[in-house]
Amino acid sequence: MIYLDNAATSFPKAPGVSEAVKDFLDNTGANAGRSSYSQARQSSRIIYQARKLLAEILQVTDEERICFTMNATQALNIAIKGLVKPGMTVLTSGMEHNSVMRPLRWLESNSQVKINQFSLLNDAERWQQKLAEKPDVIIVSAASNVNGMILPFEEIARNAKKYRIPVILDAAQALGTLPINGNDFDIVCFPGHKGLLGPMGTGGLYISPGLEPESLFQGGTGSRSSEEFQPEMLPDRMESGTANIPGIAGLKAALEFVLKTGINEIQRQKQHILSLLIDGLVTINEIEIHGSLDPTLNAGAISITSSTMTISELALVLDRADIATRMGLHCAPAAHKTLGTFEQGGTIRLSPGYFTTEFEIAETVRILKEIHRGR
Amino acid sequence: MADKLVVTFGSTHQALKAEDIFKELQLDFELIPIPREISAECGFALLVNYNDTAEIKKTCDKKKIRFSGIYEIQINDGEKYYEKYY
Repeated sequence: MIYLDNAATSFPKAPGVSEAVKDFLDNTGANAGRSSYSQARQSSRIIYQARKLLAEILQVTDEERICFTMNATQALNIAIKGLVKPGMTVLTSGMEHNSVMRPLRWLESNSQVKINQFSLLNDAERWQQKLAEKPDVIIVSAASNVNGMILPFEEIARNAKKYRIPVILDAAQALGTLPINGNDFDIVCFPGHKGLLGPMGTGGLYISPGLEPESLFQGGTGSRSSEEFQPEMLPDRMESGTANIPGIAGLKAALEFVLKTGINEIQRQKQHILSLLIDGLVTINEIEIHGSLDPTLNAGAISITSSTMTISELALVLDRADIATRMGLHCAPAAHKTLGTFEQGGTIRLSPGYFTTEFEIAETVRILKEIHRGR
Repeated sequence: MADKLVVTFGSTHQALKAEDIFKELQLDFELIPIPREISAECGFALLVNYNDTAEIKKTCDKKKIRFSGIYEIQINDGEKYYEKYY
């Protein structure tokens, strides 16, 4: 199989991840943060060390302001529902995933929240103007999950600071691939299983000092057990219930790999593979690329359509050729509307990863050429 | 002055951070379940074989360890009790 669905989840995982998960399940196994016997301590230490490694990747010093979640969606729900209050206006981009849009639409329906979107393609709808209207909160993706487009998230955050508008960064497609400085944002939400190369069921958010969003749900934390009220301190406030410790053990191994390899090196390698893919695709006349042809503006996904085949026909032949891609709207109708690919049902997304080889790209291009030649 | 101190924390993360730093400083200590007599925040505490309470506080402040209490273990009429200093 040629796996080009890394925007959904990375595969393969970083070396050492599956061993760490197995080792935890076979040899440690205890719950964390609740007891002080040796295996329980080991569990607590795994979480502690993973948190420290995440702080290093996010370039922040306040490790305990990084809270573990099941995924980026849970992190985004904590961030969005924690910061956006009834009657507020939210500014977001036209490239967002439903993990941003659905919580926002829910708030719009249930608590009179107003959503304002900026376009990155239409000059009249620029973020600079929309930001000057002083929204209450800004939510922006670092990169699109549909076509890999890197958004001007750093510039937006810098400008938002001038107006003191809090910025939530959805780093789902970016952390582990692009350097991200957590100090530049109010909240950064991320998955552990995409660019960070860890197992599914891991993710988190970094909450900058001074910001105290409420917990989405409450429960046991192992701390302040005498009280029936949720503890206020982080990370405990956001981490009720038993964590996915096998997953976090795997994530820890993945983070060690990412840090050892270096995010700049990962980015360089991904750009190299993307440039080979783009160079190959542009030689096929029937294929249209929906996005920039510059790999340095892309975090790792290419969206294509064919002039001679529907996306479902194309997806079927790619499936049969054992090339794993994702067809459709990619849980991002807003982005497809922006790109003009919504009505046709979306695109085929090819998302290589750090471990994708030059040979696999050449094969993919060869097969796409063959498919089109045969028609 | 007591021979032993108990340092308590708000979260597991802080307790483990303190454990790392105390290890680095080669202090004689162990991670213990929080003594029943101390109102529990995090379920663990560090029992430190050291008698300079002020020095431990200074170390925690310097290393940005957010503790919730430092207690001296005292014996009165053969009974052990924890006296909170910070």
